[in-house]
Amino acid sequence: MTVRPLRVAMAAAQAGPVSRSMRRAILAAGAELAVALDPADPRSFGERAQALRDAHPDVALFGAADGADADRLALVAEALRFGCAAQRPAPHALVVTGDAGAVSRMRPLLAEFEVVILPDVRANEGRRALAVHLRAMRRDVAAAERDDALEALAFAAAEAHAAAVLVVDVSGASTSIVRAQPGAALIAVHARPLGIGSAADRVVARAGLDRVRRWIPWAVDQPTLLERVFNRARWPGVLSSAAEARAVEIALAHEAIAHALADATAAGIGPALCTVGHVIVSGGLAELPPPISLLVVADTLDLAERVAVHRASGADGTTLRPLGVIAPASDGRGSLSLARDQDAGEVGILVDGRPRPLVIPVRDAERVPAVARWYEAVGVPVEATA
Amino acid sequence: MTWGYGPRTVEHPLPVGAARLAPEGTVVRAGDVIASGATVTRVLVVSVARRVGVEPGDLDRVLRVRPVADVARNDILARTGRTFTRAAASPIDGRLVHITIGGDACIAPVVDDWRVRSAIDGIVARSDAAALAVEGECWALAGLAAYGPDALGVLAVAVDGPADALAPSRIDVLQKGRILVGGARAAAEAITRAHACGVSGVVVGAAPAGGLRVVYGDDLDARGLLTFDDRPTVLCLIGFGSAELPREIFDPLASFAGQRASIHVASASLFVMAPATAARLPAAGSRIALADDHASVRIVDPEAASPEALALDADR
Repeated sequence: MTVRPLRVAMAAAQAGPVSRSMRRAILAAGAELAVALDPADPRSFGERAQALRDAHPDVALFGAADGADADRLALVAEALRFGCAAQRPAPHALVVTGDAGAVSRMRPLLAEFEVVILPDVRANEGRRALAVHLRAMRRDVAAAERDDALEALAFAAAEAHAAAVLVVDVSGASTSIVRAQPGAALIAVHARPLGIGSAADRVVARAGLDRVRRWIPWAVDQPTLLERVFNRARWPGVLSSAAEARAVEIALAHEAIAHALADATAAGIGPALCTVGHVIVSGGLAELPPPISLLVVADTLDLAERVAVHRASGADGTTLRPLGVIAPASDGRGSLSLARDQDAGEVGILVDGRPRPLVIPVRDAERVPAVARWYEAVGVPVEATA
Repeated sequence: MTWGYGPRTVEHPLPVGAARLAPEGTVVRAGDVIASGATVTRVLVVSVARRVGVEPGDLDRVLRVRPVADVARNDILARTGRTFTRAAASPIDGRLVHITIGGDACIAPVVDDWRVRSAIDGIVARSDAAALAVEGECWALAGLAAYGPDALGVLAVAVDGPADALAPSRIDVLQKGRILVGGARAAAEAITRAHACGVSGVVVGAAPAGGLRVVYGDDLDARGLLTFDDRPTVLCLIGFGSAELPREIFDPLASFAGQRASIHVASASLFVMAPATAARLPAAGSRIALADDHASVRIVDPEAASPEALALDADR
């Protein structure tokens, strides 16, 4: 039976460093941000309480820089009391603050819950402490071990290549993007539920059906696509050799990575992620046909420099095989030279001359030929005409 | 996903604003109202503790009304003193829904009532503001996803066989209050017509996801949607799109026709209040599998079944 991820309800007194740092810690911990509330939220008191009840959070996370911030959070805390005081098991309340005044104000507000005070999340130590605390509360042990393994893979690859490495993993229920660099802190984004299997419907809920559909290299009507996504979500792990099912998987992988990156950007770490020399694809992304894996990386990551792409394979997913090289050339001046000892991999060199940001035509008559051309450019002819 | 008879605990999650709850130990029948309340949106916050001059912790001592009581405009919420009285009154007709830690009263206008009915015959085992749970014995069939409010009614079969789609032409007002068994597929037209005719709910192998979006809105996902408003109720047993029901599922459904039943949306289950001897279950031999293009679910030959096929009693 699948264990659900740790669900976090987050409330920051104001948008800014506290909010961003809390989001970053949640992503690093691999928890699910079930609902985010702030004092400026336009929802009424009752709607906030209902949102919190519907979210059924395991943790209610409050971030306050000072006592005034804590006062601003009073109504959100009341909504939590109104919505979740009777929840079984009751959510734990985590208050992240370095201010004694904020602590003294928040404690009585959250008296009905078990309260833990953690240090100011804006500092690295505080953010790390929050991520560690959240990770320790996770009950989805297998998923947590997988997150750990991805981080270890990124770290080991960075050491081996003596360069910045990005691991991109798309699985059924989660999407992870981990950046490691020798001598620098590891940046981890474990976005869930966001994936190509049991969380496929969540990708559509977040991205919208049209954004998923645009990656499919033929015309497909919305109801049919939605059926495939919903069935995929409720029949996770079912494999298919049909081109239609594979195309949905590829389209979902595109949007899952895009939204994991969007989450990272909301947490203030988006731009830093893609400045790497090596990318490792793993999980469901590595199981796609090699040229498609390379194309998904080129489509979704905003790469400024040439990167070597590797595929994680083997039973434990730690064996790396060169997949190809992506040479961005959006300004029309791509470099094609390779060092003598550099392996162009299974696919070869992909010179990506498409202008950034990538624009996909809206009309099928223009979109289908454009996307099909990209498929064909990497040696995957488009056959299905669903 | 198989039929089974036995003891069950059915939990009914409640929206915020519950005003009346059946106490624990209450014996209920399926369909009895076990909780009711009002939808809470905006609230008026009245500074009661400050106005009557008591510490927030002492407010309970001087409160004249308690959550969750109805109040009329100018009703006294709390009062202190005898000669020189200090009082806080409600500024509106509404319901006192919450007292804050700071001693303020949150009063919400009553705009929209909701009710929760028990899905099975049994005894209330848990009763609090978040959820009610009822324990009882009945037949149950766990489905894949359900949408809409909980539904109760007499079970009626509206198709000729498990591979048939529920045709709108087979639905009329004579089926008001019933739960219709719809075969392999129920399109949006059939679902909305059933609702318009007063049908309580529809149990079907699959419903088209696009059609469900038309009925329930674009933010729908594959996990179901529990609502408390007046909307159709659909229980998808196997998948989305189209899914012929295996005989092991359909035959007991047909034999339960005429029995009281309920669709419990939160657990995506069908409960049938029939004696344990009311149906004989055929041995589960069928296997079902997602079609290669993932657009439907089909029954596969048990002999030729691939590892992708699920036995009916598989733990999903």
